[in-house]
Amino acid sequence: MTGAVVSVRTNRAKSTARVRVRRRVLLLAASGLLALFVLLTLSLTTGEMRMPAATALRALAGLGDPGDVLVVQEFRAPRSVAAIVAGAGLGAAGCVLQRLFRNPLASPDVMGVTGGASLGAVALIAAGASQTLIPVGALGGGLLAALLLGVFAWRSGLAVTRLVLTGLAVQAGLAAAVNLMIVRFPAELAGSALQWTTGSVYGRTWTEVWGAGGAMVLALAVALVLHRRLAVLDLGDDSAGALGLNSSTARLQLLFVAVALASLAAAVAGPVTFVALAVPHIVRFVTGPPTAASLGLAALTGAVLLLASDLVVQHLLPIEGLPVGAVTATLGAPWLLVLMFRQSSPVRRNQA
Amino acid sequence: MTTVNQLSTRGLDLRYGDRLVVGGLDLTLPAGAVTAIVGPNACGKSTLLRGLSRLLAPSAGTVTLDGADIHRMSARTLARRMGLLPQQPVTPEAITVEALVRLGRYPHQRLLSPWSAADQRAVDEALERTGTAPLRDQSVDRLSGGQRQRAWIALALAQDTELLLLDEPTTFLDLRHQLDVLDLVAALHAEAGRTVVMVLHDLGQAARYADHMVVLKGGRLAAAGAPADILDADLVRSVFDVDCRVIPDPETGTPLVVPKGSAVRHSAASA
Amino acid sequence: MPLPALRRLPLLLAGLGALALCTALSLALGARSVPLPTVADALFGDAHGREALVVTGLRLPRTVIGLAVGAALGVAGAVAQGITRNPLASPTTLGINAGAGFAVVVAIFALKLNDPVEYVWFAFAGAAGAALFSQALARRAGDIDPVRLALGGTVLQLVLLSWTSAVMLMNQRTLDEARFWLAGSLSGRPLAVLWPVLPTLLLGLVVALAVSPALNALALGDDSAQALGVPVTRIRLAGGVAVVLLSGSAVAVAGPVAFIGLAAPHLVRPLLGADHRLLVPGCLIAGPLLLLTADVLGRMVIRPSELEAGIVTAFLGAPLLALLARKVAR
Repeated sequence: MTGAVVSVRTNRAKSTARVRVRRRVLLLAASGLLALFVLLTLSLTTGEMRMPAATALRALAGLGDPGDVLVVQEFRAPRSVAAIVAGAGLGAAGCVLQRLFRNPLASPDVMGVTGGASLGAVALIAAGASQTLIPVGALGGGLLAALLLGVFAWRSGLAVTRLVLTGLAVQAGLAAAVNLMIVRFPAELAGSALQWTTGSVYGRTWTEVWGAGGAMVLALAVALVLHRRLAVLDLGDDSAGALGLNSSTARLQLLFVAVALASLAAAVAGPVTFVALAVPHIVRFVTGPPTAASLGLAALTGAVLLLASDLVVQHLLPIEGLPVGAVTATLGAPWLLVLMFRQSSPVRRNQA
Repeated sequence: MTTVNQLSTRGLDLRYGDRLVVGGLDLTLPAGAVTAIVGPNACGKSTLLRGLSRLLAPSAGTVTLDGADIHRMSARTLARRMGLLPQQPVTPEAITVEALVRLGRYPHQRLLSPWSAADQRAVDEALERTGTAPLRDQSVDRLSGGQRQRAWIALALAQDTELLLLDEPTTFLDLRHQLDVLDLVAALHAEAGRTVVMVLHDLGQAARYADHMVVLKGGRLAAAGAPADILDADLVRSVFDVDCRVIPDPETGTPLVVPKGSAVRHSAASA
Repeated sequence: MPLPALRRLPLLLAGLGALALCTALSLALGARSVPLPTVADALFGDAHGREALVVTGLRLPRTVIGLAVGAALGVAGAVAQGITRNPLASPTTLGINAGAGFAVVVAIFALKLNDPVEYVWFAFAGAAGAALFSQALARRAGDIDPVRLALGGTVLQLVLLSWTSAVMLMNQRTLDEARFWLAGSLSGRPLAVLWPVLPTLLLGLVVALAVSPALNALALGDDSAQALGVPVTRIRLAGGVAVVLLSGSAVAVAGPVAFIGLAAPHLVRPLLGADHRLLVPGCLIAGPLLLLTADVLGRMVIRPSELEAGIVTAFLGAPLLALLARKVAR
């Protein structure tokens, strides 16, 4: 059996499994991009002022009727781009966190980032800050949550279980603080605070979108570079160490990137729940176990999902001003059911 | 400084929390040889291996590779020289054998460099050497224990190192697979002169496959040397607290430990 | 009682003493602190002054409810942790509180309710629904790592909270009514709120106490417990019923109060040991102790205004969970 091995495969023949996976990846990428384009066009054309696609696209470029241009450029486009940016960040963050924690239920919502973003936003609302500053508060809050998480969970290294549990604690504490504020506020403020804590892309302006969008691109780039480490971390701390990777440092870096992605998404859309939780599962469902392309696909799927949800909220639901977060939560619940009732455990300790 | 791949320790202390597991160890592991580390349970064998592979920092003393302190080297540099098969490795869910072995190239990859032909070659060779090439598309957690162990050895091989450390590579395997793994390790040593250090439970296997043996008891060195030189009844009694006879193995001539029968167990000892 | 239990008796008595002290403080302290002699007078004598009225009219119902709710939550937490073998299980982390909250908010929205007494049955129903859901999860998953159950409960909580927020945003009146109830508080609840759930609460307590000896065996693992002759599924079912009854009743009365169920067993275990025959009665004392302390703190911390007890427990409970994290994981 060992010793002289007769080579069955030659070097240049690609394994069929890899070809299959590659094909699926390309399929998902292509359909994702197509869906994104279609939805984006749809978002620009529908609304109180309906316009044909060609007009809308021209208006986006600044051509055509000034009224059209205003509606498309100032109202519809920023909102859609905001949804795309936030969705991408959430999808990527969820992808990183689930692999980092080796747990299908890990997501920034559970780690406290969402809670922190809510708190930041609500605190600024309480202080009476202008609408434009609130996203900054959300970003700050998300990072604060991450800081708390890092401080409490660090004890000569970053063990996965401790990280998850501390995340739950941080989330609970921050949610309590948000709750406190909502109870203390006068009624009108309470409503807008609650809006913020559920997540919404209503009324986003270009300044907000460019700011968060630019930072998001940067964060995604960093995430892509660090992505390789996730596969090595999956092997366990011992093997990872043997391969020359400092597990704790790598985990910290990846955690920070995921938090940055989620916080930036929250800065633009508030703490939208479930996108980060569900997207990695969708990607896995289509393409199988994580590959090098998973992160990109997660970002793409997240963008599509959030944009679609926002369109549903805007045009399909009869309720005025419902936050997109409510829709994602409702869509996310069946996922939750499926996930929680499945038997498979995250990582098996193999014993021969 | 010549590159001989000689691992040594001086005054090595290894602790878990406050508990001293390995104390004051002075050891030199011969380069280009197969060394087996043996000893009773909780004598610090695995801890020593973790100390040698930089997974555990010494609380006192040093571990050097060719005279250079391994804790002063960058993790990646060391990873290019030393590969490790940990005890009970954690297999990620649904990873194929090929994907697993590819991870062994991590220490060689630069931040922005794509997968190179050299990387692919190393992976393919590793799969061939361990006989896991036909299994390359299969999920690692669906393989048998022996096959899985070989896949992990392939990972360490793809790392392309001169030194190979194995922590209890044969525990939990049946006899056939134990011998397969040991024969593979012996072959890897023979063809490229790799230095191999492995922690083993079975004294007979250690004697058969190792050029050099290190015997630990209570975190301290009880004996070190070639099996034929150090493995005798006195050593087994003092280290393992077992009365035995040590005879030459009928197959290989290396020392074979035969425990003395006890009256309770064997009523047919006489006649 | 067996000998080891007798050794712990002084501790139990000390606990009861602490509880009595806490009760007294709860009656005395507040935005307007009443001296203890006056409290005694108001309760047992016939003082009728303003202070006496504060004691009998406001603080007495509040304290009684605190005792009942605290006891229910403490015991529910102990039983939940026993049947799931999970130190992180509790009405909060299993999403029970969130379930009740959601049901109440829907009731406020759809049926235009506005009196806490009316919320009671909906809260109960919501709590029961969420509890059944997480029990099913815990049972299905068998012996799992504590983290998974805690995560699952949190995710369930997040869904329910999202839906709750969505409903609250649908109209202003719902928002106004619901947000106070959702904070979890002992104030503004007349004793009338307690009476309807008293039978279920007592039933839950009885079942919990009946099940406690079996929980010790269950802690050894399903197989070992079965080998010891314990009807594992039936005990789990009974325990689950107890948790639902107790936490449902508690939430129905006081709204979702966080962390008491989680904290009480962890407070009692180092003192009385892991024997459920002692642990459960211990939580019967520790629960109210914690809740009343939180309530009193809430009253004193930002005098003359008040912080809802539910918010105080959440603030205190989060660091507790973080500390537990350091213990549970290496």
